[in-house]
Parts: sequence; structure tokens; C-alpha cells
Amino acid sequence: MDINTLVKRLKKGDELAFRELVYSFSARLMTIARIYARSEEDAKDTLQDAFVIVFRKIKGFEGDTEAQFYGWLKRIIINISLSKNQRKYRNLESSLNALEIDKGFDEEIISNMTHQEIMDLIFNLPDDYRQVFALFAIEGYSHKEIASMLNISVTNSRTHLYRSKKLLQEKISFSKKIVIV
Amino acid sequence: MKKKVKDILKEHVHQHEYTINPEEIFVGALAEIKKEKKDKRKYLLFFLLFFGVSVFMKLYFSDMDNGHSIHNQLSDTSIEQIDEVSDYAKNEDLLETTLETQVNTSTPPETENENETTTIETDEVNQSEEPTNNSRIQEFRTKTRTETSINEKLKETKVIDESNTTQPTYTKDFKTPVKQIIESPQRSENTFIAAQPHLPRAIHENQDENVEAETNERSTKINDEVKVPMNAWPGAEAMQSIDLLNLLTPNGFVIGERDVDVTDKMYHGLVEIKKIKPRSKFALSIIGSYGLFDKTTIAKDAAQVITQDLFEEKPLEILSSSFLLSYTLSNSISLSSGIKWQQINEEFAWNGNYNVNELGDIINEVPGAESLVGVPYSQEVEHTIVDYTKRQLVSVPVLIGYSKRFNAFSIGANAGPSLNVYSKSEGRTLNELNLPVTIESLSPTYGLGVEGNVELGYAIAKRTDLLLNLSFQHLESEDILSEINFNSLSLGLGFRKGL
Repeated sequence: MDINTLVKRLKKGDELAFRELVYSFSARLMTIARIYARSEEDAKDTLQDAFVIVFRKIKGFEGDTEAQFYGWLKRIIINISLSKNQRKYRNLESSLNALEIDKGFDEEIISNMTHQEIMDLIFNLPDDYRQVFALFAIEGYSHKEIASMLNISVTNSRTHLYRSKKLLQEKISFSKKIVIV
Repeated sequence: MKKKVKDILKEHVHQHEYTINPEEIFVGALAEIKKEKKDKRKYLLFFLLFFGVSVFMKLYFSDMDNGHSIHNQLSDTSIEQIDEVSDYAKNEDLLETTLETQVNTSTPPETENENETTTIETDEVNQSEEPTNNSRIQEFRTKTRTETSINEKLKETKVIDESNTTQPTYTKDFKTPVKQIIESPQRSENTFIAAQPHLPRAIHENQDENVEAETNERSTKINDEVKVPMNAWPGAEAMQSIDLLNLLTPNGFVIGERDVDVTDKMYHGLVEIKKIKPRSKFALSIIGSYGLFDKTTIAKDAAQVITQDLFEEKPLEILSSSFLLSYTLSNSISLSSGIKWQQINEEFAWNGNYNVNELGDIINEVPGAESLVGVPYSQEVEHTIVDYTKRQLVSVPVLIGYSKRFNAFSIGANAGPSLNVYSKSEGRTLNELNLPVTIESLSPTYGLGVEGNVELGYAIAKRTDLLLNLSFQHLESEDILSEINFNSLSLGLGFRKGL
């Protein structure tokens, strides 16, 4: 698929190009949407809203590579997802009280895990942790940027990341025990 | 987190393809896009439709005004009667024939000097006859002029009667004053003898009985109302149904001592009334309105979507006042422009967390935050802020309008573009850290809009109407971050004063 051609057709308002765009990027973008959404239905809504914004704002896109285009799409998904969840950042402390994680992160175990197992680990993190974790570990945002995006303090961002890592370690160790048993 | 683990996770996430039906997403997104386009088309179509209807009505009613409006106000019978008379008037051959018949058969009037003759001229016919009923016709018609004209024409008639030398002629050139025709040594090419078959008979019936008394009392009648018998011509009764300015009485058509000038355009039952003091084409309208509105903010950059949802702006009300000067282009069409001031009130609501120091002041950067007592202190608190935001908007509309008057009532509609300026904002907004801050800014933002209104007027005084106005407004403006679409529906009360 030639991104430049696709973008040019989209800029002309070509509905077939829009259909091609949706079919080409839905699966990958849905993964991003699902990471930041609280449910699969929310993720679908986010994805649909994102494509509407893409169609409306495509004339402002000036990149010429697929990486740039995908990055732009991904950023739209993240922004929409976070804006929908912004008001739900409350009482995080209560959801953390049950977490008592003191086990180390085993790099070797992660390397040996299948793709689906890793994705299940991420998808099964609590919503608020998953978002901070994904923004920091996957998207590479700094704590200051994450704090601004999620309307939380930098301290909270650090805390959320730390606790999400701990939770992942617990889940990985637990899955390993199940395998051993 | 070690880099390797981070890379592994990133790789897995980016390679992962979630199981989803893309057709479902495509259909949903496409429907939303088409809905937005449809909404935009709807506003455009409404404007074009309104403009088209205005132009059509302007063309249609301008045709009506060109001599047909009176017909519309008459009953079918009346129209037939007038048409009948008009047919006679248009047929010059018939008129001439009729004239000859009347000249030859009419009874010579009682004149002081029967040997003197009256000359009746046309373009083709020069006749020299003894004074006949034509002199009476002339005398009668002269009475149907304005009071000033009556004085002059009766004086001249008197001279004619006394000298019995020539008799003035009539003209079908309605725009040429009779007096000028009479005094002009050379008549117009259109000049003809407007003898009308029914008119002389009517005059006979009345004047045979009263001519002597009328002659004697002429001097006293000059300053009184001049009454034209209702049976003077076939279309006269039809005129009762018009009675535009209460000119018709049970005894006849009253001229004189009125605020109107019945000009020389009276002809065969058709009367055009011209006001002595024409109205100015300018009018000033002042309207105050209260209404509701809906605002949609669209972020230019998708990243700004985050900021938009951090707070809520709930529309409350819109107050407006407009000062418009209108200029009448024709009887029904006008062009108006002026200043419209609007205040838009919104409720600002924000709910979120922020860090405060020991005094409760908001601190943005928690690490390294310094306390007044030297010990770093910060506390994250959840807070809800509800405030009110006021935006003052000034716009300059240019509206084309159509209006129709029904006695004391008038109904009209206006529509057109407007240039809008956001002149002042007071209230709350979010800063770069998405924390609420107070704003009071004067930051003009220009945008174009469309507005239209329907108004009902009621005349409460001379040249003054009370107005009830229902207006719609659609504005589009933009700043650096977002596009703002704004729709409002307002109900207003005001007045319009002719200048």
C-alpha cells in the first residue's frame, strides 16, 4: 500500500480510500485503543472517532512515510482515549492497596513468553496503570508529559508506573508457577 | 525497567493485531462524516432557499405594483367593470366615433353666448362645434382635481364659459398635468378626446338638474369638498371596495381637504393616490433579544482533544441587542446593516487533582517545590470548580429583507452574512498544565456567519412599528487551537422608526 497515494486520495474526499484506510489500520490501532480504553466497546468508539478526525484533518497531515502516518494515527487514538478517561482518574490509591508486589522482574521469562501472553498481561492490567505503563514503556513519553496528558502530578505518574511494573512482575511470576506446576 | 524488556513489550504491542470487524468501524465513521456534511449543507440550503424566495417575491410583487395591485383588491365584478371601461379607453377609434356621435346628438348647453364656439382638437381631427356637453364634461372633470388645481381650473373654466372661445381637451398621457396641457399652445401627440360613452350620460342625468344651481354656487364650492356622484361612471361603485384612504363616502368620491393628492392619474375608474409627503427610505431598528445557543468546539490538532475534555462548558443563554439602519430598495425589499452586540454566558466546570503547598496555593512542579518554612511540602487534592464564563461578541450583519404590510401589521424576513468579532472574554480556562486559571482578555477573533430572522410588526405610531423578532444565527470562528461553531435561536422585542 502506497501511503502517499492513499493520503492524496483521502485529501480529495475519496470514500474508497477511506475504506481502505480503515481496513488497513483498524487491527493495529484497535490494539492501541484497547490498551488505553476501559472496555472493548470504549475502544471501538475511540477507533471510530479517530477515523472521523483523520478524514476531517487529513489535509493538515504533511508526512510522506508510513511510519509518520501510523505515528499520527496512533497519537490521535491515544489523545482521544485519554480524554475520554480523564475524569476517571480518581481514587487510584484505593485500587492500589491490595497490591503487595515484592518479586523481581524476570527478563528471561518475558523473552520466552508468547505474543498473546504478553498482550494478555498488558490488557489485564488495571486501566489506570495500563495507560501510564503504555505511555511510558511503549510510547516513550516522559513522566512530565504523562502527567500533563493525564492531568495528574509527575509523582503520581512515577507511582503508577512503579506499581504497574510490580503488578506485571506478579502476574508473570504467577503464570510461571502455573506452567511449572 | 531494562531496555530490553521495554523493547520486547513495545515490539509485541506494535505487532499485535486486535481482532475486529473493520466494516463495522468504517460504516460507523462514514455515517458520522456524512451527518456532519449534511448539517453544513442544511444551513447553506436554508440560506439559498430564503434568498431565492425573497427574490421571487420581489419580482412577483413588483409586477403587481405596476398597475395591478388595485385590481387585486377588487372583486371580480369590479374588475370586470373597470376592464370594460378600460377597453373603451384603449380603443381610440371607438372613442372618436363616440365623440362624434355625442357632439352631433347632444343637446346644446345653456350658455350665455350661443354664437361662440368651442374647438376640440385631436391629432387627426380638428373640429369646430358649438359648445356641447363636452364643456360640461370638462367642467365636471376639472372638479376632480386637487384643491389647488380645482381653483385654477375652475377659474380657467369660468373664463372659458365667459368667453366661450376654446375648450380645453383631455389627455390620456396620465403623467402630464392637465393644467399644462390646457395652457400648452401645442398639444402632445397623445392628446385625444377622451369622451367616454357612459360618462356623458351620467353627467347629463346629474347636471341637467343641477347645472344652474351649480353655476351659481360655484364660488362657494371651491373651498368645500368636491363630491363626484357614485353613479358617474360604471366603475365608480367598484371603487368603494378599495376606499384606500376613506375617500369614498356614501354620496360620492370626496376630494379636497385631505392629506393626499389625487393626481391627474384618475382615469376611467382607476385612481392612483400619491402621498404629498413621501416616507424616507431609511429606518432605524432597535431590538433586544434573549435566546439559547449551542456551541461546538473542534480541535485543529488532535492532541488538543485532551484539553477539550478536561472541562465542560455548559451553554446557558445569549443576550443581544442590535441597532440596524435599513434602506428601502423597493416597496418590499430592503437592505440593512448595523451593529449587533451579544453576550454569551456559559458555565465552566472542572474536576481534577492538583498539588498545593501548605498555604493552599497551587504548585505545578511537585519535585523541588519549596515551602515557606524551608521544608518541601505538597499535597494533591481533588477539587471541583464551577464558574461562569462571559463572552462578548460584536457582529456587523448585512441583511437583505422582504416585508409586506397589512394595514397596521407587517410581516417580514431578513437574511444575510455577518462579520463577527469576539471582543472580550471573562471567566475561566485551562493553562498549559491543564489547570484552571482566570482569564480576562480582549482578543478579537474574526469569523464569518450567517443569520436570518422573521419579524412581525405592529404600527403603534406614525412611522413607528413595534417588532417581535425571531432570529437564527450560525457563526464560525477559529483561533489557534480550535474551530468554534455556534448556533443560536433568539426571541426579541424592539421597534422600528422611519427616519
